[in-house]
Amino acid sequence: MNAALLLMAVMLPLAVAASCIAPASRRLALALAPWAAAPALLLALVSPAGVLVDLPWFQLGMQLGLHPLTRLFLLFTSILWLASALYARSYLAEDTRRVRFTFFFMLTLAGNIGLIVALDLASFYFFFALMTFAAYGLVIHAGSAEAYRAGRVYIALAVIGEGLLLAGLLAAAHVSGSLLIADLPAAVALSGWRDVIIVLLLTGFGVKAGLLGLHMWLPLAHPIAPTPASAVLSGAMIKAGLLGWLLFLPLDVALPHWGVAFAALGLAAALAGAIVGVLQTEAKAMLAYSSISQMGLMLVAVALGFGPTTEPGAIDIAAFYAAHHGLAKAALFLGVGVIGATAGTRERRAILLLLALPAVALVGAPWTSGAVAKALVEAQLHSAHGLAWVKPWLSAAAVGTGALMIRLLLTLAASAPDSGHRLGLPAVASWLALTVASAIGAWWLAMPWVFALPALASEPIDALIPLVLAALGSVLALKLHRAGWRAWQVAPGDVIALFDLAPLQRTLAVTVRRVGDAAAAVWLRVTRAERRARRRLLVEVGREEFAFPMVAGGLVLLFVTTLVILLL
Amino acid sequence: MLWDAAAPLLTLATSLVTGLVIFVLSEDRETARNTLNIGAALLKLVLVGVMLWGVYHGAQYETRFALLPGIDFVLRSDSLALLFVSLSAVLWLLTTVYAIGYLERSPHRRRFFGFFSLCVASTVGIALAGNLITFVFFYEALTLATYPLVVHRGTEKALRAGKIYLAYTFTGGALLLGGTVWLYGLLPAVDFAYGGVASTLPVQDHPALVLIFVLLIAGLGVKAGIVPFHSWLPIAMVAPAPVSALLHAVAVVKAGAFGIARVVYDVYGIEFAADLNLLTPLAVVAAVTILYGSLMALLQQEVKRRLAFSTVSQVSYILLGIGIFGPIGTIGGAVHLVHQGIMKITLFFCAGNVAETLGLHRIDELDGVGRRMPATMAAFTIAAFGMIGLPATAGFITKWYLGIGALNAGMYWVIALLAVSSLLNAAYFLPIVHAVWFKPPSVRWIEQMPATRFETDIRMLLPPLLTAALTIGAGVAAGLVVSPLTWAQFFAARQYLR
Repeated sequence: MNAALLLMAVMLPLAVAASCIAPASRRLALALAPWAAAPALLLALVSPAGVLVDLPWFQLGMQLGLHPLTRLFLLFTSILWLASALYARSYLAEDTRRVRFTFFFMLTLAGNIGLIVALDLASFYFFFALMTFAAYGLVIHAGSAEAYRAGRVYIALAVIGEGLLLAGLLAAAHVSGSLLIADLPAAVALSGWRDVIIVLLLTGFGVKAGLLGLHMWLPLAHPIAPTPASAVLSGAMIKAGLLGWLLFLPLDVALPHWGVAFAALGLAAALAGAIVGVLQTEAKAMLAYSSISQMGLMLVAVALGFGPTTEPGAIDIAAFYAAHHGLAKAALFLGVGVIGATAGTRERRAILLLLALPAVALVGAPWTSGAVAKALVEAQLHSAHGLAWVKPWLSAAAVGTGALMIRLLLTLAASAPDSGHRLGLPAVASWLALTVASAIGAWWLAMPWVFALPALASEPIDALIPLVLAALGSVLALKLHRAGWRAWQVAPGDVIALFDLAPLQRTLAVTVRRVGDAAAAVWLRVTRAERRARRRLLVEVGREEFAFPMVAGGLVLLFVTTLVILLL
Repeated sequence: MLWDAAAPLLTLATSLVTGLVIFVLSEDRETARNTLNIGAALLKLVLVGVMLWGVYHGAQYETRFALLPGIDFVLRSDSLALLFVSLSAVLWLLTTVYAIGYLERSPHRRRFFGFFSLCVASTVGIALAGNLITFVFFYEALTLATYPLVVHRGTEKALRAGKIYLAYTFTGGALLLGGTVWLYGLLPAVDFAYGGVASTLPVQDHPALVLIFVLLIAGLGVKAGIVPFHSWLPIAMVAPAPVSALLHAVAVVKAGAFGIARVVYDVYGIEFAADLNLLTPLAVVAAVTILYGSLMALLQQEVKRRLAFSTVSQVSYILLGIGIFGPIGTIGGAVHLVHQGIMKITLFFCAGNVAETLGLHRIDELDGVGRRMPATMAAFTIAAFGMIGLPATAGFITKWYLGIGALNAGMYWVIALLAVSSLLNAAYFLPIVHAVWFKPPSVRWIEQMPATRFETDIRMLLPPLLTAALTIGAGVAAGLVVSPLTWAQFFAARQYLR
């Protein structure tokens, strides 16, 4: 029974995607798509823990099932997908490419659900890759030059991530001699390859999780993707990277230096994401940077795992953080879409007020899920090795998030509604449901711990301070703006946007080609006409748009890996 | 038993006799020729199936008679041979169906199908050869049988390509023959046997054995397309699509790789080769070829040339697996013998479909083709994902076994190599996949074939769809008894568990 439910949770989205292919079954596919995540939600609610499906013939042997950590991920992931799919139905009602969108949306969903229920490494990697590659279709849905550029950056980083991940998983499987995920962390902790594997997993999953330095695809892809896709990208899919860290890293083992490194990296992302986010002009780009910032905070929660074992453990805290952020961020993304499709002034005000709920939750205002998340992290900092310094920086990040959220709401308030776009009732309802789930549901999840957190009850005012500081800062910024001061603008994608890749790309292609020519001339008498034809090719090679980021990424990867091996 | 002695010879005869009969049939006896071709291919499938069943249950099939005093002609079906023969039997059938559709309206079909069958017969001979001299015999026969196929179009470009092809392969053949003769000078007979025969030689012969190894590998490496002997391969692309498909997937290139496997496993023996320190250099050569082939593929603008350089790169995965000491690495190499075949033949079928149906040969002309030929391009996409090594495709299984095998053998650099190679494969396949599905058409397609109910001739559509399905099947159902992986494990177990 439970096995059937689990298989259905994975297979139903795949079946819907398959029915998108034949014209005859497209109507059925579109009708089923909004409910494709329902079996997954049911599974998260009713299924017992343990191995539910065992298919030894599949790939390297497939085991699917649930345990407490993945149940929580499955819960919020399926809620997000359910809401977004429902939203997508009216959002894309008049889109000529909605069948194509549904196809990729369903494949991505299948990957996202599958990687959560995978108990063995190869299945996890399979579903992870399915999600990654299917999401490309969501990113480039708009079909504009901008969308293709976002898609290119996305896929280049994703493929590099897959490579790093494969290397990490191979090494982990090698040291553990097992393909079951549950066996890996302990074996990795004991092996001489520990540090290499940690680096590979950190970066391999980091591409998906928007780790600082590998985050460039996020602010490009999230704004350009259709709103329901942005919601699941930011709310659910980047959490797959976090889940990877939680499942594979040797947490609950004392590795203080890694704790400090993770925390520093996380805080850097938390601050940089907030600052660059404030400098954005588009609402969805702000939200994308906010996601980078919040994933940084989750990395701090992961860092706690390298300290002594605590109650609740680092894994629980990070998972709770993920659920809280996933619900709030998806509510914000859908809300941005709702407000864009609403014309009436009074309605827009009401929507803004409702949007403020998940926004202040992200800041960690009193009595929000964000306050619980922050308090959970802070309560463990004292006992963690060498992480006491983190606390003030968490507050600084909260101030940054506060400023970012205020900027977001002000931008939305000032924005003109998109007159040509209307949303149906189901879309609005799914957004409202997510807002409610974000405001209340997260409390329900945190229930076991709330009473053990004295800070929550005794110092609610403390939690308000970052928000107040952010408000004061925003007022000051507005005054300066009126006085004629102008802040910098940072283009979405920051680092990527700084470079014009075209000349570099061409130079590299020409160089490689010349080397190739020289080699060919030695081994083969090339006629003069052929040489001339080849030279003509040189120019065309410059058009090979993927070539540069891939080759550069590959060489960096080769270089780094060689260096690591040499240093060992 | 008569059957045990006859089975390998019968398998060889299915293609050989077919080829000879086709030469006798006149050009316009099309139905008879096609029936004979398909019938023989099906018969061969049955024969191979029976032998697979038998060998899996411990039977031995061997045809042996004296060629010269002291030199036997031996055909034998061991596990490695069957891996290769099954691949060639399945792909022969599909390629024949494809070629019938492909050559529908072109001249010289008798010549084409005649040599086509001889080419497959040589491949079967190479696969089943039970000793080195029989192997060399069929290896040379393959060169001769393929030449007319390469120059089939008869254009100046084709003739030039044929010349280069002959120059390369005959040089390679000479090296191989030299090594073989030298080895026969040292040993009374070089029968292929698990664990090899060369290790029986005294220590003072070891330097000579190293030199012979270099000669043999260089000779075989020409056909396997290892750098720097690969240049003929992209040039031979002028051949018709079914020939390229067969050349890259089963016949010539694969014969070279298969020969190297034979030399390492059954002439020298994997342990003895490791003792002589021959494996690491082989793995390094393979690594260089993998990277070089991928880099060059990135720079090609013609579909078939890009696929050709991709073959250079992918075939060396097999050599890499051979160069990794240990059962897991051996499985990775052996299974890629099959995996590379089904994936690459899919790509060539698809390239041929696009070229024949719409007259498109260059990558920048492929924009939007997915709309016109969705099934072909779906097959192409699957095979391309397989080449990258994405999970749930055959390529992932290969990569996984190579990776774990390399780690077990302490060859950590292989991990970086696999990661970078996947990246490069992604870099030259993903832009095509993107262009065919998401870009608007950049050139006006000129329909080259009469319209049918399907996007192209059904005989040209089914083969790539089937091989694409096999690509997924071999990746997804890798744990089934009938999967290539299981057979490769069966083979590896015999190499190490003696």
